[in-house]
Amino acid sequence: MNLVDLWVPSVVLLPIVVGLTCVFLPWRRALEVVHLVGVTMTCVLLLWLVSHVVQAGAMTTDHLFFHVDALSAVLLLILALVGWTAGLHSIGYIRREWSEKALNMRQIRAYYALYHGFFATMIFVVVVNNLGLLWVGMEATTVVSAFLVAIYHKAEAIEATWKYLLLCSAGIALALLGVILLYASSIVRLGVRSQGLDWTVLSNPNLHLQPQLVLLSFAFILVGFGTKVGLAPMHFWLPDAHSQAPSPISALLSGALLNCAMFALIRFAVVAEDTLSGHWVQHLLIGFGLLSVFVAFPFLLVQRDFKRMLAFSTVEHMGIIAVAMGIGGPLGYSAALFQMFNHSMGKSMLFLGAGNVVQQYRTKQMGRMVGVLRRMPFTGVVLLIGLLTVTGVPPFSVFTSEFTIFVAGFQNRDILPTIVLMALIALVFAAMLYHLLRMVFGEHERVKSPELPLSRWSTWPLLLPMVLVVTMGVYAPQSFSELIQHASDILARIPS
Amino acid sequence: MVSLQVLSVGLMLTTISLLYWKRIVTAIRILALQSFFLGFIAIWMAARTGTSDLYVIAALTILVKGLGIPWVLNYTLKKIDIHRETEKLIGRELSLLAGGALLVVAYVTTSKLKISGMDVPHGVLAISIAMLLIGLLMMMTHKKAIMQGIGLVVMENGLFLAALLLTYGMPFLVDIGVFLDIFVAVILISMLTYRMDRVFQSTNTDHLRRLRG
Repeated sequence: MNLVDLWVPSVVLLPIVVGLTCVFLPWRRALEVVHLVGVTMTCVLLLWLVSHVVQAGAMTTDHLFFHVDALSAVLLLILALVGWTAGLHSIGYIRREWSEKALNMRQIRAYYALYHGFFATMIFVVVVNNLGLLWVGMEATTVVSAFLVAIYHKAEAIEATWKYLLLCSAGIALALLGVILLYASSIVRLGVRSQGLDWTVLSNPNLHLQPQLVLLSFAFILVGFGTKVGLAPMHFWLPDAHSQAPSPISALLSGALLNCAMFALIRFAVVAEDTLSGHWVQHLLIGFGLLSVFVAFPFLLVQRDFKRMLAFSTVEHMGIIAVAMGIGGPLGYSAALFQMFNHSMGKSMLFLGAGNVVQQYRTKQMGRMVGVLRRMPFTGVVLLIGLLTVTGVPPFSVFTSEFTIFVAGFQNRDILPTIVLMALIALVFAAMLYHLLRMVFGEHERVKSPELPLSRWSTWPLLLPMVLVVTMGVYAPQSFSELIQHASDILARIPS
Repeated sequence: MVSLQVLSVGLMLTTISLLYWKRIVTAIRILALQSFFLGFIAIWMAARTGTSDLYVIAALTILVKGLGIPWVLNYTLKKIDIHRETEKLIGRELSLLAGGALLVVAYVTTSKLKISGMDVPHGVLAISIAMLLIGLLMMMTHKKAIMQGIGLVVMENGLFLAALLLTYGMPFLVDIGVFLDIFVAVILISMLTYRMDRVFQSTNTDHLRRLRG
């Protein structure tokens, strides 16, 4: 028994314990304190784990139950940063909802308890070794976060939750068929063993699985987890769920959950790539990715609801990441992972900022949200920098990663897809800039009723992602680049 | 082998008949019966391969899917207590026809699949795929929220059968996790159905039309 065997399980168990504690707390103040301490402790543990992986490489617990490699560490880093920022913002957000009687005590207790439950399922997905249990974790994220999307008992929230639950459950059921087929193929090679679905076993490139079964399996996996990632044409749940959830949860969905789904997809893609001859996996990823970016553009342009617009921008970014994963090669993979990180920071800060604006203006319609910069200077700056970041304007970090994706595309001779991607990103940039200029600048109408100032909990936490997107564009710390490098080596099959 | 075939025909008949019945209560009973058949197949498989894990899985199938899920669904139905008939986009005859067509599709696609090491008849695998497809069909054509939930459970049942045939069940912990997930999903479906009834005075999903574009 060494330290690692306690450490990794405790990262999964701690949020569960905190969540269960929240269920039994009758006072709002106590809930806030437990939530704050719990979320901070979880994130510190996660960051500690990440730094350990950076220094000492991948680690595996007893019985090979958990496996944390550099790829998981990148995801854990994203989870920790987004989870902590959204966690602190939640306190301000929920206080405001409470004072306006939009949520009652029972709902607040459920919110905090489920927040930690949701966090735990996402961490579990990233650190578990068995790909079957990874599926279980993925379905668990759907079920837990569906409760969170449904926290307001409004007609729209019920509709969004219903679509989210049914589409993702049906999609992910197809992914389960893919997992079963992969397991059948592994049984033929290895015999019936409980390790037959372990990543540590299946990631061995000399394991010759049956190509026909693996191709079929990957097709189901791509459709199934692709639904969860929000790849077009399976993205219909995404804008509804993102716009109806409480804003901190939208930030978690967009900045953390979708990346976990992408992580699951990529784990299976690596296994499939080893077995299949030809470039099936690459072509499928590039195809679905480009389609997502293409579909997102017209919806972005005509959107009136601010949070829906951000959700379609998320569809676009997931498409870009899928294309980059499809381009592959050491450069393509590291660009994809860097893009994942940057998008998470930029988009979570936008959704949290959007939450502030919606609470202050009492509307989600962009037509009525004019002059944010004057009325709420801090949030206005956050929105401005966030929107410039996610549209890929230099010097912010998304520009750097998108530029690297283009370079990787040209290097790998995927000329046509890269040019199409560049053109589409330029179009999306124009569409979002149009909305941005009207919303952030412009005169705001005179406010009739005196308004409550925003709590510091709702504003200060946003500084963290904001500093990261600004600095990461020009300078990335040595250890961070190393981590991304190691993770992309795992995907590109370069033994370290 | 004969008992396997009899049980799998039972599965097929229950699945097809779900497309026929008009009362939701009957559909829930049929779903329970189907899960019992599935549990017996798991017991048969356990006896044949001598894996003790599978007995536990079989017991869980009967407990969770045969008794637990139907109880939750019935409870919800009693609470909302109105409009107990199903409503569909397409008529009864057309949906039976579509179910038959899906069965043919399942047979044709699985007969082409070569899986070395599988020693059960291909027809049974075809039935599992047909259950998956018909479950999906139910989710798409039914308008009542509870019936869409039943479609999801039928899909899961088909997957469970496929896992039994192809791999003698998934690794133990995975199976447990799958049960847990589907059970919580059904509870959530029931909860949402209840809220839908409170807000729209109906559980017809046609009312869910506000979020567009």
